[in-house]
This record gives sequence, C-alpha cells and structure tokens, in this order.
Amino acid sequence: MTLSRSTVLGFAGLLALAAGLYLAKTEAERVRERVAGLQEQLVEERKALRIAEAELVWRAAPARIEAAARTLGLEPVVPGQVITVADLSRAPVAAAALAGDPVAAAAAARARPPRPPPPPEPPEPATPTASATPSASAAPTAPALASPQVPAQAAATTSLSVAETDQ
Amino acid sequence: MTRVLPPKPKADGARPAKPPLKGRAAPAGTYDPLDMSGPRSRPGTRGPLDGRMVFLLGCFAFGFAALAFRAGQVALFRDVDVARTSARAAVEQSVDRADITDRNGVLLATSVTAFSLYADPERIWDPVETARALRTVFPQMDEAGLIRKLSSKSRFEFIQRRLTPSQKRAVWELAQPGLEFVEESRRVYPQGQLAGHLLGLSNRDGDPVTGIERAMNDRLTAAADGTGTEPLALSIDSRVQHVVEAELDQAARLHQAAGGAAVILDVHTGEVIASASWPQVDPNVPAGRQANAAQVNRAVNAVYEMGSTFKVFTVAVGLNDGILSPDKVYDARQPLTIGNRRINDFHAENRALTVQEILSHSSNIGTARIAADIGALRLEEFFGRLGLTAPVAGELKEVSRPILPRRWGRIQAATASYGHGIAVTPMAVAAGYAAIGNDGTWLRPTFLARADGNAAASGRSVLSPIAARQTVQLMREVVAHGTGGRADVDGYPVAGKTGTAEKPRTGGGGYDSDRRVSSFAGIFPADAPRYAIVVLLDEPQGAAETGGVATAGVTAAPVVSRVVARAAPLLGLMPRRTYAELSAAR
Repeated sequence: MTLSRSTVLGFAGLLALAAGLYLAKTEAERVRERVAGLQEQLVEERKALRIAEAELVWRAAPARIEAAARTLGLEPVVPGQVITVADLSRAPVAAAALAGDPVAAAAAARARPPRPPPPPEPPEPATPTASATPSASAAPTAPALASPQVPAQAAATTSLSVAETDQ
Repeated sequence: MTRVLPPKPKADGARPAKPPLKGRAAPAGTYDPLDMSGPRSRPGTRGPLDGRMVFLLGCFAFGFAALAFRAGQVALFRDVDVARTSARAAVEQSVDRADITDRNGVLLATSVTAFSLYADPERIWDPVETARALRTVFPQMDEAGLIRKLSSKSRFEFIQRRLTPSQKRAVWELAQPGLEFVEESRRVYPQGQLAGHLLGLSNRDGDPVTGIERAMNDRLTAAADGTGTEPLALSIDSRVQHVVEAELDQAARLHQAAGGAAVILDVHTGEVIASASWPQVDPNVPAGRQANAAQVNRAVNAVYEMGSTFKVFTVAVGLNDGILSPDKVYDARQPLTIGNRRINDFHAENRALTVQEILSHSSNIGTARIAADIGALRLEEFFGRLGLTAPVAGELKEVSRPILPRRWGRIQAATASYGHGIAVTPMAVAAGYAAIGNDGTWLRPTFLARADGNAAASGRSVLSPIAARQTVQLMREVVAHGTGGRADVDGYPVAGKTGTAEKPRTGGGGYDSDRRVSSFAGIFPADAPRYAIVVLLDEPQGAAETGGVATAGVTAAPVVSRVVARAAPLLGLMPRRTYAELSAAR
C-alpha cells in the first residue's frame, strides 16, 4: 500500500494541528485553574477585609474615641469653637489648609518667616497629661496644626478643642 | 480442601469442535471455570483471522475509538467557563446579607465569616480530658453537659456557635482530636450599643426579631441571590446618634430614671437623624440574654402621656384657625371646672395670661380655655392630621398605637389640649414638632436615608406657614424666658416646650404625683428650623445637682442643650453668633 506524498503531508499537518490544539487547551486549562485559585483567594481576602473593616469601625467608634479623648483631658466642642475659614484670616496657612488648597498653604508658609524649630521630644513615652500639654500650648501660636488631608470641619474642631482645654 | 478444576485440554493438536458462542466473550487464551462444555483449543492454533479474533479485535477497536473520541471531545470542546463561573459565584456568595450604614456610609452592621466549633465524638479519645480543655477556653460551659455531648453516639455535636477569632485560636491550640470548625456567617455590629434598638436584636439562631434588621429583612437578604449587595443606608448620623445616646445615658443615670428616649428629626425631609432608647441594648447579644426592660424601643414602641409639650399643638391650631393671636388674654385666675373635672395649674399665676404667657408658664387652665374655643371636634381632627392618633413608626414593625380618649367630649378635649388622657410615642411628638418647624407640612418619619429634596411631596399640609412661624416664636420665648431656659445653647437658639406629666396610677384612677414623665420637645435653630428634637425621661428622680427637683425644666431640658451644642456643629450648622462674640461672652 503506497500513500501519496500529499496524503502523508496532510496527515502530518493534521497531527501537528491536533497536537498544537491539545497543547493550547492544556495551557488554557492550567490558566483556568490559576484563575479559579485566585478567585478562591479573593473570596478569602474579601472575608478578611470585611473583618478588618468591622474592626476598624469598632476601633474608631465614637464611644471609644470619646472615652479615649476624655482620658486625655479633652472635652466636647462648644459652639464658640466652631469658626469659619474667614475667622482664620490672621493665620494664612491654616486658612488655606482648611480651604483644602495645599498649594496656597505652601505658598503662605513660604511667605511667613520660618518658625523656630520645635522643642525636642521627651525621650521616654509621655503620660497622657504630659503629651496633651505641649500640643495645647503650641496650638494658639500655630493653629495650622491640621494637615490639608484632614477634612475642614474635623480639623477646625480638633485643633481648636486642643487649644480650648488650655484656657 | 478440594477444588474442582476444569479438565485440562489435551495438547495433542486435536481440534475439538468449536463451542457455541456464549453471551459473554471470554478473553482468548483463558478458561472460563464455569464452562463445563469440555476441552477447548489453545490460542494461536488457528489462522490469524479466526472469526473470534475478528470479533475481539472489533470490540477492542470500538472501545479505543470511543475512548479516543471522548478524550478528544474533552480536550478540545469542554465548556471553557465552568471553572471561572463557579469561582465567581463563590465570590458573590461570600456576601450573604447586605451591610447597614448610617447616612454618611459609616458601617453599622456587617456580616463576617465566623467559625463554629463542633465535635465528632467518635474521634475523641477522652471526653473528660477534652471537656476540661474546652472549659479553659469557655469557662461558662457546664462540664457534665460537655462530657455528655463529647461521649454521645452522634458524629456531629455543636459545642459553640460563632467563635471570635481569639477563641478559635485558643481551641486550635488545645490540639484536641475530634474538635472541628465549620464556617458560618455572623452578623456583627461594630459600634456595639450604638443605635442598638434601631438596628434590632436577633434570637439565638441569628434571625432578626426587632428593628431594621427585621423590618428590612427582605431588602437585606436580597443580597444572597446577588441582586442587592448594596449596603442599606439609614437616615441616622452615627456621630449625632452617639451624642444623643451618651447624653441621654448620663441624664438617665443621674436621675435614676426607669427609662428614656430621644429623637432628632430633619424637619424638611422627615429623616430620623438620631433615635435613642434607654436602657441601651447591644445588638451583638441575642435578645434572650438581654434584660426585658431594656429591649423596648421607647422612641417608637412605648406611649406616654406627654403633658405640656402638647400645649404647643393646641396653640398652633388656634393660631392657624384665627381663634388666637399671641397677645390674646385668657383668664387663669381660678381653677377651671368642666363637668366633675377640676383643672389646676402647676405653677399657678392666678392672673389673666396672654397666649405667650400660657405657654411660658405652662398654664393648664389657659390651654383648656383655648381648647374650649377651638372645640373638641376640631382638636381631634387636628391631632389626627398631625399624626398623633395613628402609629408613627417609620419602617419599624414594632410600634405602639397611641392611647386615645374613647370619645372627644369637652373634658377629654380640655385634658388632651395639655397632653393628658392621650398617650403617644416620642417619635409621634417629634414628627408633630417637625411639622411646626417646616412651615406646616407633616412628614412621615423615615429611618432610611432619602435622596435630597424628594420628601416634601409625600407630606400633608397641617398648618399655615404663618401659624407655624408664630408657634416657633412662641416656643422660642418659652426657652428664652420661660420654663425651658436650660434647653438653650449660646449660638444655637432652641425653641421648645417642657412637659412634666404625672403618670396614671397603676391599677386605679387618677394620677401619681411621685411618678412622672419629664420631656422636652423643640426645634433648632429657632430662627431657621432644621431639626426637631424630643428628649424624654421616664420616672426621673430629683438629683443633688438639680436641688432634688425632677421636673422637665431641670431633667430633660439640659439634655437638649448639651445635645444641640455637640450635635449642631456635626450637622454643619454655624453658630448664630460669631466666634469673637461667643468668646467674649464666655
């Protein structure tokens, strides 16, 4: 039995195609398994994330923050501490920072004379009362303690409530 | 031991007769031990294309062809997406109940994966040892009961549902065989007691029995079929809710109250900004393990005779109907007698009072006279339009119906005009005050966050804007110069009315002068009302700080003042006086 050259070539080509397809499918299968593995990992990560989110909310719950703040000698904000950005006109850095414009804040900071370097930190961890005092005394001279990332209202109330406890 | 072997064929080359083909094809060259038909030929003794050989070859060829076909089909044409879709389904199933957040997206309730501990008693070596080890982690467990469980015949005994991560680690570290974990979903309320009544309690199996969890169960579980994984946003502001709960808790403890409630409503949308009930509950703890008295949501599920806070409603309808003006004078020199009922004043002025003074001095006599002018029919109708005669619950399922006079005669109208003989929930009073605060439109309170501005359409007009504003002004005077002085806040003018109502005697007629409900209902800021607030203390006792007095002016009103001072900045309200003015005043 003799086969023509073209028949042999045709068979060879067919075999090559089949082999190629097989390899491609095998590779695809491998990738699929990897995808499934990653999806499974995603499920696990999401579960962990939910627990982490819940824990974050628990740690930042108002009741806990209030208790912690009171041990530091802080008190609830009184209406007199609520001010507008315009009230801060004498402190351009703070005004710009609270307006949410870090560029203007930086410009204002450059325009001001450089501040003296901050006093060195005490070497050992300070007690709650000790750590509250330096920031409180620093607050009236430098009301720009709040960074631009802090939401305006929160910045206004936190920095000022520190200031008020000093009075 | 004997065994019957088939007779061996002789190897003499003699060809026996071809046995008939049986139903099964024995492989060539083997002997069927059951075949007793006699000696057979050895393989290979015939030509290569013996009929049986052809048949067997055909069978093999067919089998291999089928295998090759199937292998090719599996390798080349199998559904590509099976693995991927099943994994995706698993991702989506990991959220089985939608989260609940406050109006700002702060998480109030979420579902996390928890591990439940079960035992496989068959694999436990020593039930006593395992039980003792378990009690080092769960000291509250009963040792005898544990041993009984661990030595039972079953293969699955729950030891503890929904462990905390640290408990799970501790059990893991016991290294006891036969203790296994199974994953379960667990509902957690990361803010603890915050808005506990509103969120709702669950039973031992974790099924919701009260609150939003029960009322909105269908919406929350829609997540399980992948349609609604969006968190449910409530109308409350968790920061304000905390302030309200903290101040209510402090006042209730100071005055040794039996209970308390507080509500803040947005007067323009009907959204509940805060809703508190005291004693508090922790939704993380099953209902069965909390005190019964604490489980009642006193904001919507308890009715009180509110007393003088109702006088505002009476005056409002009088102003609306043109019967009154703020300066109209009523005779309050003598106690008023209607039928057999004698109406007295608590702080008797014994003189003629203007409408303003009737509110400021909280005169029952004056208010009853106003009610007589309004008429019982109109008063009943107005209270109905103001939502005081039907349950007001928002979305919650647990709600109390108001207790109303059986018939509205002259006496009933007179007492109802100053808040006696009619008992409603604090939420209903807050909704009534909100209607006064928004120029006269009653809005159904809601616990769900509303998109801005689509609320007004659902309200019903109950007062003319002029009457509503006049009423707010009269209430402002009560706080500025009357019984509600301690509710005021420098910078945030409060308008409102105190109410000190004696409670009906238990099991008898009349009222008990030792047991009362002290409340304050109001609106802030008075010059441009945004929020209605109600604070109520049930059976407060006089405290040293208040000179032994337990009336609303010294119990509930100061709570309002502290809440407004702390909550108004959080709600984005600017003080009415400038920073410099307020600093100078202090």
